[in-house]
Amino acid sequence: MSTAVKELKMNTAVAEENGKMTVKDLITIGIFTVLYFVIFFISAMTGMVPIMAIFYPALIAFLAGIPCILFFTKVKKFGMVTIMATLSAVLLALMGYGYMGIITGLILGLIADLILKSGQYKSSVKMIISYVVFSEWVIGTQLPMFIGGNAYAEAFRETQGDAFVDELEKLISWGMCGIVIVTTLVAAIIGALIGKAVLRKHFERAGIV
Amino acid sequence: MNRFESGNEDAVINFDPRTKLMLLLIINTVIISDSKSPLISGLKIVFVILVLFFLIDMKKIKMSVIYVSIYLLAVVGDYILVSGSISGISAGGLILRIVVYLVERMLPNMMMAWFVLHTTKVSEFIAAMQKMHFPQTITIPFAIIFRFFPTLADEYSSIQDAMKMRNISLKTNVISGIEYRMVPLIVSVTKIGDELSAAAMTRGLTTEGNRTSYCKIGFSLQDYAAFTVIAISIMFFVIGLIRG
Amino acid sequence: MIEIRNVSFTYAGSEQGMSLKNLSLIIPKGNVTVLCGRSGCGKTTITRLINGLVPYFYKGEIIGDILIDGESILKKNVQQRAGIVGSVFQNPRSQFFNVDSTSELVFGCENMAFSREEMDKQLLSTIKIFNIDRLINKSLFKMSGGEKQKIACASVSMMGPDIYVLDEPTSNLDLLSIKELAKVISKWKNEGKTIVIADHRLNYLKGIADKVVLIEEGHVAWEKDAKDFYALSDKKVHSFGLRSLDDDVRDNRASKMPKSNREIFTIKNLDYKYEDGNGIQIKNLAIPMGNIIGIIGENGAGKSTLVRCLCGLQKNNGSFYIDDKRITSKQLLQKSYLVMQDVNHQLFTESIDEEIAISIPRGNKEKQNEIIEKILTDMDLTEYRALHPMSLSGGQKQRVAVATAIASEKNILFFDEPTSGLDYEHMKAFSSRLQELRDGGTTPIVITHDIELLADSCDYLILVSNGKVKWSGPCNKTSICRIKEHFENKSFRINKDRETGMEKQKSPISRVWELGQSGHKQILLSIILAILGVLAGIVPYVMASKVITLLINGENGLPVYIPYITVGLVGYLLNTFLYTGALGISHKATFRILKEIREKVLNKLPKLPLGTIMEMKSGKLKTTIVDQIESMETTLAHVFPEIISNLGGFLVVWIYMFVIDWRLALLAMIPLPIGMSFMFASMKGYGENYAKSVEITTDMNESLIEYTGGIEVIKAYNQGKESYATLKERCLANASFFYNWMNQCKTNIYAMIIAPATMLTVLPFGWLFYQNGSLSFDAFVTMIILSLCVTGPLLAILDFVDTLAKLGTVVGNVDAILNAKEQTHITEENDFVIENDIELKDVEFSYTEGQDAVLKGVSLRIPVGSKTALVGLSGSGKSTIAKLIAGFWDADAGKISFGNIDTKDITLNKLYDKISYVSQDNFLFDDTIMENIRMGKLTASDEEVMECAKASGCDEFIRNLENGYQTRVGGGGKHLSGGERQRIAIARAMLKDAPIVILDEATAYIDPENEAVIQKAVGKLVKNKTLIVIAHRLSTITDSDQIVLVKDGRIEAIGKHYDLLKSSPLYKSMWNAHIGVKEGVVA
Repeated sequence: MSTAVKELKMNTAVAEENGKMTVKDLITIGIFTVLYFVIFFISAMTGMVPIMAIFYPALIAFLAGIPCILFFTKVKKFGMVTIMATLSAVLLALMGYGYMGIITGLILGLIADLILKSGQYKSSVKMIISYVVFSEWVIGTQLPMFIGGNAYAEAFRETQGDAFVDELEKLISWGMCGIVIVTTLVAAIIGALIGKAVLRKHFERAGIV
Repeated sequence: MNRFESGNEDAVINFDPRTKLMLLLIINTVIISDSKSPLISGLKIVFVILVLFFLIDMKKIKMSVIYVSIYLLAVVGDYILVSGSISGISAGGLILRIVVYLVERMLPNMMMAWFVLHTTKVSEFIAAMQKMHFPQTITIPFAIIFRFFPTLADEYSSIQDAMKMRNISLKTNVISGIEYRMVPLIVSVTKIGDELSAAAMTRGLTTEGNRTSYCKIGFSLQDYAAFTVIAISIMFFVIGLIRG
Repeated sequence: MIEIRNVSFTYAGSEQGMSLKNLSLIIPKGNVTVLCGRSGCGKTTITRLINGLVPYFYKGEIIGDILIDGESILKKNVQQRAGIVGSVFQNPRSQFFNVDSTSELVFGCENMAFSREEMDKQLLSTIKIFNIDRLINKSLFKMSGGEKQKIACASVSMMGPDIYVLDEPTSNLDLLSIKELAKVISKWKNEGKTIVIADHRLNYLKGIADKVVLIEEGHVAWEKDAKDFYALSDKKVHSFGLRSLDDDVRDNRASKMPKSNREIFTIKNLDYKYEDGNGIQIKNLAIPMGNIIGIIGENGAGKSTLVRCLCGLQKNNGSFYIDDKRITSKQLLQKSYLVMQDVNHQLFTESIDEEIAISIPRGNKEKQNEIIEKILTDMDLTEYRALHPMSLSGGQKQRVAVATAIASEKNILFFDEPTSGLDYEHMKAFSSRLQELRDGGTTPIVITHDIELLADSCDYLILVSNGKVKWSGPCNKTSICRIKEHFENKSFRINKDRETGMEKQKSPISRVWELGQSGHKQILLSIILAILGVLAGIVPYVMASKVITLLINGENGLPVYIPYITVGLVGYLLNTFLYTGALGISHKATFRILKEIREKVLNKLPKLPLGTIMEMKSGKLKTTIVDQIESMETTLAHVFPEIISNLGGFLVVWIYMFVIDWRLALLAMIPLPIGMSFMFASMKGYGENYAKSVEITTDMNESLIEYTGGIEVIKAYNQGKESYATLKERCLANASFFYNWMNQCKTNIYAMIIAPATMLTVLPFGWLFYQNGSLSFDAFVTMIILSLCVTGPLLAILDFVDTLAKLGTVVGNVDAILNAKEQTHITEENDFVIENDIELKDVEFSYTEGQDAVLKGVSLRIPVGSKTALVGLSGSGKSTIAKLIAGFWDADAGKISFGNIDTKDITLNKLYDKISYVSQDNFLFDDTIMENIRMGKLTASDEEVMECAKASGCDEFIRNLENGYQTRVGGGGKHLSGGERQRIAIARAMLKDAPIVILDEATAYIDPENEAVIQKAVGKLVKNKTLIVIAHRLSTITDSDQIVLVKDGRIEAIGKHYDLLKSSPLYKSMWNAHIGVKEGVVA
């Protein structure tokens, strides 16, 4: 044994986390992506009922609040939302929900990440805003319906007449799209608030934050 | 629920995962296109049959039959609508329209996606991603997603059992129902995730990407044939789009 | 060498202070060091210190240093240490990153950037060392806990670290898996690795551990050499909080009989199977309520399934009774409560108070607060009442779950592995709680691997193995021993079913193809011909459509038509000839295939163990070889050419249609699936129905045979009415089965009508198209005609579906024979002389694989020339021992040898040559008596035959027969009495003159007159030979050199008659019973 014994003192809890993702973070992202994906899938399945086919983003925003808020408090690294959104979008694209989702997922995910970071990962308000922004990506999966819908409807102008096509267009219109955006926004806020409540009531006290 | 075993060992078709993804991409793009170009319509039909062929190769005869039948019905429905035999404004017509639209655009995609998922192992995907130099920040979550699906199912059914026993169900109280399901599920899954992270780290898993892959993937004759098909399809697709 | 130097560590956010307090420890290289202590003492933290999880994953404040081989590694994070330190954790299910085992094995190596060749090399050697050949490439989710842990160890091993760290690795494992783990640790030790294990359970490391270190509250309390440690008394060991060391669990509750004053919970006829083939099967199980019941069995035995069925969570087909009153699964659910292995799944609320509150049944809501108070106090949880359940420790959570169970007032409480990770004190605490519960009127039922817990608390035990209840009874020292033995005994095959369940079953057709090599070429030829034929058959239709078009277009001149007509005619003729030719060839090919299959079966029969053949019903063999294979002929002959050509024909026509007008082509197809759906409805379950029909017909046949064969007995005992009733019932059942089945299939008719009705769509749509100009007239007509012939071929194929299903059953029966286990003796002669002692060593045997072993470890020595008697109660296994010696079967485990030559090294011929086996049933061939006796030695002369006949007392009665020795005996020897047949058999044996004679109750039939004669004959037969006698009549064997008393598949005692009378109570009672009978006491 060497005489110059150095007494090493380390406090890794206090040690600076340089903002890089750790293995634990990545695994957590994976897990929460699965949870989110399942919620997405269940909600999208209610799309059998035509009305839900339009409003499922709101349902998802409502239900996913609980896991997502927890997710935001657990990982606290830049890129977490982007990865989760993009991966979900890719998986869903494979299932036939269209590629627009990937684009909205990426963009909105990035914005959400930026918002979170700007709040130092501590601000509750920023968390809620971030979640709301993130939740809107789901509409990307409906964009084909809205875009294509218009073109599709146009094709019937000759055979079905103007009245019909106008009616149809109203349904699949950008106006409707706007309504969906707003509904999702509201649902997301509610979902986030529920998420916060559950966080306080359960997760923090259970020690898994 | 083990999704990614190789579905059929006697299968004739054996593509590299990247090829499958490319096929998936091009098939998806073409199928959801709304162009009226006959070239593209023809391409669609070719792809529908191609997907059928893939399914048959997996020996999923029943699935193939159902797939083809539904698709044919949708085509017929489409034709009926276009020829004006049923008024598009009526309720029936509207529903038919939506259904036809969805089936024609989503069914072949879903079948193709199913094909890809069921003939590729997770490790093959990961190997492909590593070859394409995806960072670990993508591959690790990706692998975890597939590893956790069965786990999630197991945990959830345990929780269901527990709720049955304690006489709690969605009927008694919707909010509580959701709370009592999600909370233990999330807690449980998080704990497993933590233990898993620790174990994975002790086996050298890092966020830097210098990993090798045991799984052998590579391009073979079939892949090159597929590439040719893809290239030609892209050509036709673009021409079709331009021609209108 | 690992040195931990003055380390103090506090987990971040911990309120419990330092986990390690200035701890110093040296772990020598190449040693197995065990860290033990109470829960929370810090042993796990030490393991984490070594692999780096502390402080890089479990963050906190650390002082001190840790060195490996003199170099500090504190600054190295977890991944950097991965190549040096390999870690195995407690919970198998949360250790694996991948979905299948092979990926998991290579995972660590991939992370460390091994090359593929290196990984291959490591993989091969690891598989060999760990003996996990059958576990590779399988889904991890389908493995048992023990298998997963093995894969975890193997995958860590693949990285080749020098240090292994294991944190409570046995917590979730059954006894067998723990043994396997111990083997793995031994192997590592032999490779010179340094191993550190933290555990409460230490008995499996006896002989492997080098040093044992006790950790108390974060510092080292003492270090002992393993030798000294394992010599400590259990009391001392318990005082340290550790589990008992001794495998032998003393029974400190002195055979407490379970209470029997409460109801009995009975389960009958439960048969629940998962898709992979595992499940449970219980005929009849009775559980005495009001007692602590323990359920134990290996991983995957079916305990959890059993419990889920018992508590009503799993719908099943069993019948449940409480004291003869039927009870449904739903009612069971209301009476039962299951505390799960992972308590996290059943705690939902935010505080313990609330958790208890929601469990209180609705009726008692007023007294809610009182109840909660009481339960909290009883369970020692009052101080935690406001805390969130998930924040508690494992043991506390479990108490909460028990609290909710009590609150629910349900009176059957199930516990799934409640003590997996608990140290001694906590286990004892749980045990007392169980007793309190029981005394309070509930029935606790515990599933556990923990034998200490069983011994300490349970009143009644149930042993589950391979999906069946192997044993159940009161808990006492003997039963605990029996359970321990069950785990020692490797005769149950774990996961055998899992493997075969995962194998894909070959379809019957491909199996037949495999079996019929010789017919391949011809079949291919017939297929080609058939295809050509079908193609030719389409030509007439095409020609016809052309002709019609011409007609309608007003063509009048005959010459224009002639070419079309001719071609059409030629096509038709070709079609007929080709088709006939194809069928002819295919029939010939089929016969050839059938012949080949029969030959294969017949060649297999001699290779089967003699015992197996004897047990096969000759009727079944005959049916299989002759009738069933025959029934395949028509199907096979038609199937290949017809299906393929019809399919081809359909496709060609349809594509042609498609080319002409794709819309109509698609439309024409529509009626098809609609029609088919009707067909599928009736086709559902064809295979099973067919199998059932075979069964029912067999039953009926059996009944018939029994009725006619036993008509003597029936009439004598006036059973005429009853027997006939059974027969009538079965005939009716047979008839009504087919009737119902037919009924079920009547929807077929719709299929037959709708499916080919392509006209339904072609006509209207075609007309539509024609009207709007998108379809020409020619095309329209052609399409109509073509659509007529397009569905025909397709439907013809469907006709064969039912015949195909038949194939399945036949192939199954044939395969049952072809795949039967053969005897594995060598087939070449050698010069061994078999006149030495016979020796059996640890022989195990069961008649059917997976069933209870009939012989459970028999060791026996039979000296040459001696007389040995095997005695025992019925079913004890004595006959089996004799049959194994005689080579009727091969033992499942253990060794049978002659001298020191293993019986497997002796050809069967030689074996049979050297042993004469005379049993009770003596088969005589339908030949003369002379020939029958000559069977013993085919080269014997008539005089030799007659000499033996005289010696065995047959001579007299033979001469009294019509033709004397030339009298034909009648198949099976029907014309002689039992005693006469016996004597002839003895004569045969005498003639054979084999050195070893086995008499299996050979004197059973003998009447008193001839007994003396026979005894004398037997005496002559066995002079100077090695004799083995199995007898019930003990007085005949009192002079044996050794009497072997067999009980329950094991040897209970060996000795001479008088010795046994003194030493074995069982023998004495058997003897007394026998003597009693002899002296005329009627039983």
